[in-house]
Amino acid sequence: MSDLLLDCRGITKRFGGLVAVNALDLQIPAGSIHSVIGPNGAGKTTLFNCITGFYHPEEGEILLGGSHHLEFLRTDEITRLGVARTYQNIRLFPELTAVENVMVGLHARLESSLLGVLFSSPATRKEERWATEEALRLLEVVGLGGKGDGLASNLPYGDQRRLEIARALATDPKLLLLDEPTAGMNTGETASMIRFIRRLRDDLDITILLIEHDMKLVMEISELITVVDFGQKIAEGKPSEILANPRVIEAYLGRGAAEALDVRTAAAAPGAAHDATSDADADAAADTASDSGTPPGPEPTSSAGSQPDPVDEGGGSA
Amino acid sequence: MSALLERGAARVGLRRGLIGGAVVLLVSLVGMVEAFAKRSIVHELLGPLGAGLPIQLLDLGQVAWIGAVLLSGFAAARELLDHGEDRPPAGPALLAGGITGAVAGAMPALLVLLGTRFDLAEVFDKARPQLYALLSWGLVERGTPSGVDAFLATILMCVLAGVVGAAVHLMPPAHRKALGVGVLTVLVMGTIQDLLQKIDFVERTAWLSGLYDALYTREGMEPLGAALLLAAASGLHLVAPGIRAARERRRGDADAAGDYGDAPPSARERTMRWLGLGGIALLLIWFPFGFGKVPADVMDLVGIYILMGLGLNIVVGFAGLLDLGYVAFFAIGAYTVGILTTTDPDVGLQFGWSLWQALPLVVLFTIVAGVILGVPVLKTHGDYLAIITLGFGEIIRILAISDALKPFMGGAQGITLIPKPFDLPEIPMPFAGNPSEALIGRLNPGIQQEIYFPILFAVIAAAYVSWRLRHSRFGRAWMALREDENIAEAMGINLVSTKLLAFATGAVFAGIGGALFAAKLGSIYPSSFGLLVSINVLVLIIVGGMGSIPGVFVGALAIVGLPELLREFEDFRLLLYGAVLVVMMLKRPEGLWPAAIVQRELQRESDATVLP
Ligand SMILES: Nc1ncnc2c1ncn2[C@@H]1O[C@H](COP(=O)(O)OP(=O)(O)OP(=O)(O)O)[C@@H](O)[C@H]1O
Ligand SMILES: [Mg+2]
Repeated sequence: MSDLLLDCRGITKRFGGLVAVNALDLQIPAGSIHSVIGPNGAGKTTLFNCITGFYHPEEGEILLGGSHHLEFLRTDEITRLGVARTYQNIRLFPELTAVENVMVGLHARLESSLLGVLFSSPATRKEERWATEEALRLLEVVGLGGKGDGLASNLPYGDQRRLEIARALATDPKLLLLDEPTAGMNTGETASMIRFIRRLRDDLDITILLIEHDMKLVMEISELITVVDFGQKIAEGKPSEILANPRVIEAYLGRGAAEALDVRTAAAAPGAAHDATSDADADAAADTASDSGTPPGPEPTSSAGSQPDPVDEGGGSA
Repeated sequence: MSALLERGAARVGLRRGLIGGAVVLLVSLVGMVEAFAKRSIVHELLGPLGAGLPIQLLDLGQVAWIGAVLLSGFAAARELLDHGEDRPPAGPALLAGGITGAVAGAMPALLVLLGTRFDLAEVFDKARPQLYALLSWGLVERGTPSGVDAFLATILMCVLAGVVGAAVHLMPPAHRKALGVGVLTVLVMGTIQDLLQKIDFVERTAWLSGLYDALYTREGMEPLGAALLLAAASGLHLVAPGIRAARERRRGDADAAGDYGDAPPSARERTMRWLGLGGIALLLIWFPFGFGKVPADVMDLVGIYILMGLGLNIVVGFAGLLDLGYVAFFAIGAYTVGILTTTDPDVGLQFGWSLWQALPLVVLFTIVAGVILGVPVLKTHGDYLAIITLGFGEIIRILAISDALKPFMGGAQGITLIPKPFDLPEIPMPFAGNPSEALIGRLNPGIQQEIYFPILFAVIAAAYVSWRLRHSRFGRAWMALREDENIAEAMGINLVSTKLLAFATGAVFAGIGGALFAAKLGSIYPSSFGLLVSINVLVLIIVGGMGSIPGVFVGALAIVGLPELLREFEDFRLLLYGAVLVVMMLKRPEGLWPAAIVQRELQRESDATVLP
């Protein structure tokens, strides 16, 4: 891949004694879908915060499009350069309506002057009309058509996640950072989110950087995966490579799982990568289910049942 | 008996009675009952029937304390409601009301009994014989020396009030509400008698002054007039929903077309809106001519507070930056005009400018001051911001009062001899003596020098500016800032310029308000620019509805206008503020006229509860 959209070189972010991100390199080619995975507290969100200017890394540099040094810029300047994001804990403007939330996202693209606003100049009126229409259109795009006039805080959870994406799209991003976009969604919603993210890249040409815990989604959608643990990059590669990487499995699923999986991947080694995917996924699901104490009942089965369809899709596009 | 006591009627009555009694003691001992008693509402309440009775007239003081008991009885009855019920069972409700009244009444009754034997004035300076007379219907003076009859009369009256309050809750809700509206109308009309008296055109217009004479005696309303008014208001309220529903039904079809809040209104709606605005504008222009000097003076003050309210509404309501030193900009506006225009040879700069020449400088200085305050607080939020701005407000006041700046700002003596903005000769009325004079009065110099019109113009301009900004990218940026500063920044909003714009706009509004204030009064003193002004403005936007432009108008009328009209309230202003704020925060936190979005959400919620 030739032109890098985002190039993070050796970024380090400390909180007191804690090194949340440790000399991390990350290269995102334009037009790719790239995932960052890692256990809880690995530093994924902190990485996003460094890229978007919420935190300034102590070391390293972040280059956008080869020329802009993001590490020196303020959040609003970074946004204006075409980097938008969503948040792990949804952060909408709760007391504004959905349309207004999106219109705030359009802020940087509007240029009416104070005088134009005060005297209601034709240019301002035209721009406001455009902004309203554009906001409504973006709501349509994320599937929230007709829900624009309710307060953001009154939308159901899944709709709030979509609204956050609509608001991010309103800034006209080249690079979109999604922090666990399917957290709290059911399998149906997750499947449509996968299709939606792919459409963003395919139709709108937006490069996607994604944090996800849902392994199925990650394996299916990502072209490249970066695995982070304790702030450090421990592996990077295609989904099949990541799944076969014992270090990843150890960090991510725990030692026991790594050994169990080792046997199986060895056995299935000659087969297609798809098989490895579904195995690992089922294992991961079972693992998290037993970890969190929920009875391993219909959940893993149903996710396994819905497997073929999305995997086919993934195979088609890859 | 047990049927009467069901649902814990006795317990409810006891508790409500204790609360009600405490309220009665409070309003009595702070002196409200006595002060309000000077304002009669209905004269000779019972007509000739009441000749021998101690109740000669209904005054506002009685309304305050008997009303508290009555409302407690009402509340007791409501507490007996089962879920989903409209009306409680009659027996227990009336019993609870009676117990409430008895318990509540026992407290003032005891106060009278004690007060006539011991001198309580050392502890409560308002515990005076006059108060005891009011609480016992005069029986302390005229009754038996032991005071037992006064004691019993007070309790009896309160039992009656409690039972009546509970009985009101037995009426069907629609009737109950209509009665409430009727009573409120009578109370309001009775209370504003003085004000009506001062309105010029009422006096000048034959039918209006006839109506006034028919409705009012010299002191309070005619009982018959009050009864008719009550009937009329209640009746209107009963039929109004039918009319409103019909109108809604007609309009509902248009709304159903799925608009989303800021959708452009239909052509008809727009004409209606413009007609309404035009009507209000005409009324406001006519106001000083029709209503005369005193009401116009009150409106001047309300207008100045509206200006400040609109400014602070931008800073606090839109942008969410809590500014407690807002009076600083008001002071800067006033002192700029004072220094530049005063004709006093001892203070100021002897420029001898007019208000109009000074105004551009007022705008400039307040923008600068807004930025000067804004820059250091860019990184602070919430409580810290509030404290810093509070300090800023005090700094300006202390500068004004300081000896060092006395040659410019006059120190504690302030600046006097600020000229009036207009100095026009009297325009002779072309139609003196004919009906037009009744309508617009005489264009006398008093009115021409009035600063009413500049204030009106400034208010309209400020409201327009607020409204334009609110619906622009700047307004949205402010609201995003208010909701979540970090995320707002991540939307590409420049926090520095956005905050500074809010501070500067707010500062200019207050500065112009201060300039007009100085020109209106002709003299300014540092004491006029204390913390209380900032608090007043903040209270009025909270009461009106945070972030709501019409709310500022409503809030200013309620918080500045009303107390100005009801001079008796002056002493209790802060107490009433506190009470109003507590009640507002509990019952109507969104304000009297909330911003459009809030209104819509509330509507939606109430729709949702009606149609599950
Ligand atoms: N503002 C902060 N101050 C102090 N420590 C922080 C701060 N933000 C993050 N951390 C710490 O940095 C580490 C990495 O946190 P981060 O939120 O980046 O993890 P994550 O990979 O996003 O985890 P998760 O999957 O749970 O979201 C954690 O140990 C966290 O406690
Ligand atoms: Mg995280």
